[in-house]
Amino acid sequence: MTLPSSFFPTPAHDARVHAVEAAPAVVVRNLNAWYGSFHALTDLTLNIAAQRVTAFIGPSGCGKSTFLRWINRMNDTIPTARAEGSLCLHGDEVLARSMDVVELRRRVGMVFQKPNPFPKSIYDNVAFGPRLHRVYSKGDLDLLVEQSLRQAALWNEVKDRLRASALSLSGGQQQRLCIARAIAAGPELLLMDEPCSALDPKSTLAIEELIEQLAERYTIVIVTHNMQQAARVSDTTAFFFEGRLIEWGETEAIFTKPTNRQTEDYVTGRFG
Amino acid sequence: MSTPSLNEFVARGRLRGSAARVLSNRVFLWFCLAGTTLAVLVLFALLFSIFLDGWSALSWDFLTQFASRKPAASGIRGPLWGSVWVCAICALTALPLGIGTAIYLEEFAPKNRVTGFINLNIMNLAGVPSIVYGIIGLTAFARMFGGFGTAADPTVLLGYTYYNEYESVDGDIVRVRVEGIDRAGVVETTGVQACLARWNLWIAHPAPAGALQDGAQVEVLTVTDDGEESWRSATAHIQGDAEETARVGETKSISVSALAAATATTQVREGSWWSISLPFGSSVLAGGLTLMLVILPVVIISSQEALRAVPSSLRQGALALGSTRWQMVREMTLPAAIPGIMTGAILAMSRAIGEAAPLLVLGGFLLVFATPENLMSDFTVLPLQIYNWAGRPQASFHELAAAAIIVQLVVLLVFNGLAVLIRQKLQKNLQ
Repeated sequence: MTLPSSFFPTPAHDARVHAVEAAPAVVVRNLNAWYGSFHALTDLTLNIAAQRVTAFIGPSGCGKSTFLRWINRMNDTIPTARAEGSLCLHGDEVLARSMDVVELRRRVGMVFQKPNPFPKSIYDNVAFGPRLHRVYSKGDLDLLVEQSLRQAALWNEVKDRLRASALSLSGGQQQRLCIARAIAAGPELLLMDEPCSALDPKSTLAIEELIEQLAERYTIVIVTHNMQQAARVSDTTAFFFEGRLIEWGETEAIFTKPTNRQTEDYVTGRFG
Repeated sequence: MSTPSLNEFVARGRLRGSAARVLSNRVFLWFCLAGTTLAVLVLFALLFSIFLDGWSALSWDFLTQFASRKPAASGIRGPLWGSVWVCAICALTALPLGIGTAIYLEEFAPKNRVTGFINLNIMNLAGVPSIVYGIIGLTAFARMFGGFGTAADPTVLLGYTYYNEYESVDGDIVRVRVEGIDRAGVVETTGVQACLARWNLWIAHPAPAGALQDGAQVEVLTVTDDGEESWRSATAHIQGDAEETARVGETKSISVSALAAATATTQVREGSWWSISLPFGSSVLAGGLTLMLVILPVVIISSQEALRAVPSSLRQGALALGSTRWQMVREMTLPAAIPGIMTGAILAMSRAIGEAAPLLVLGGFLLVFATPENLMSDFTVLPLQIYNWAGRPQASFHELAAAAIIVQLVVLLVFNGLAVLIRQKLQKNLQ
């Protein structure tokens, strides 16, 4: 086994890492993950900075989604999935058997690749998460729903039809609704698994602007196949290849002066 | 030689005759039409012959009279209410059990060899002839494997009131409630027996009756001017050895001779609406539970299919927001699957209404002269009554059978209509 070259510290690389490590929300050390006998993630070690946008890039099947789904333990729903190592969210060991996944998933919101609004009203979609965990008065819940929709930049479009079915919204609106739904439960961290891949360019732009705004309040992790998107929205970028973290650091540096040859080939579009 | 272009490859295929394609299209269409027409024709022929036979026998009296030896005086009050009771019990037990099983297997159980084996068995059970379920029902419900005595002499009785009956000097029936009697026949007001008696809960028969005390509060069966029988309370007055007579009624006292008071003639038990005895015997409860066995596999399988059709993105979405499994099922999967589950339930209930064989094995009665009063009542159902009448040689009974079939069809239609209404209402709530 050979370690990727990013593991051999260079002065430039060190500087980047220190900048990112200022206030990590997620600290990952030697994470290995498997699906059955398939080794999906190998010796993953990185930090995810709080209140910043971290993008995971890499070709399909490189393990970035797998990693994302371990942060909120969604992989628990896959019987053959298992993981070893350490993954701490604000000091709490996520992979521990004693971890309450229900509370974990309240703290870690998730937005999926394809918009998946529930077949309920717009209001009930946003109120779904809050209602799972707490009991609210009608007035408080109304305010919470409004605030969530405002933060998701959807309020003005739906304020007159909160009781309409969420399925009546357009694809881009549905995805913003899913973001509103995720933040309504009061998460610290937002995971976005290719949130724009099923959307048209205009909706994509709206979501990207939204991500920038949300980054002021939330730690955001976004998986994307779109290099320009990663370059536009993220502060930090991590490049995955074949289940390994090849390189991570400030987005600008990754895209302009990558230290690793594979990273350079990928971000310049020579492979992947 | 240069490689041919893509279009050259396309042109290499032999052309299909467009006439042949159109013809095969048309032949298949005719085939489908013929099949549909045949099915509809057979259905209409059946309905027509049944209506032709049964229409004349159909009347309000037919619905409100009990069965009789004389065709003209015969009706389906007994089997109609029997069917309603049995199907209600069947629905109330089979649907929660079946849907619960489906939810467990689809949403909670790990997908391993054990659940695979269970699924395989449920699928096999759906194909078992219903008469086999009749045998299971007879053994498990009607007789309870012989573990609780016989149906005529049950071991456990709940909700029954016991009375000792005496005969008054006038020949009226006088009864006094058994409050609690020990094995020696002495009336007890304390202790376990008395406590069980107070709650109408008997683990075994109360001991044989004791003597009637002078001044005891009793009930007397009196016939009012309308001809209705009713029980009136009175005070027992034990006469000496002389056979003097006294008036019953306004004085609220009744005379019983000392001889009659010393030995209760009989002991009777009277059921209440919640009476249950073990074993169940050939009761509506046993019948309903047997039909539950018949339709349970169908309910489970159709509910599983409905749950499987719910997109997994909804489950993932709910779980990612921090739902527990149960919250996910209650808020997301079950509401989305309810229309499909209801469709399966409708089909299953239609089957339950039409079943005769398992109830025949269970010992369902062919002639019943009362509507069910509680879970332990005797019963018959429409298919059994139809079977009975259709088997007789007289043509007039065949007409009755046809009329009963019409009623059965209407009941079926009402059941299905209700289910469709419920389904639409639930579906509307989802939108």
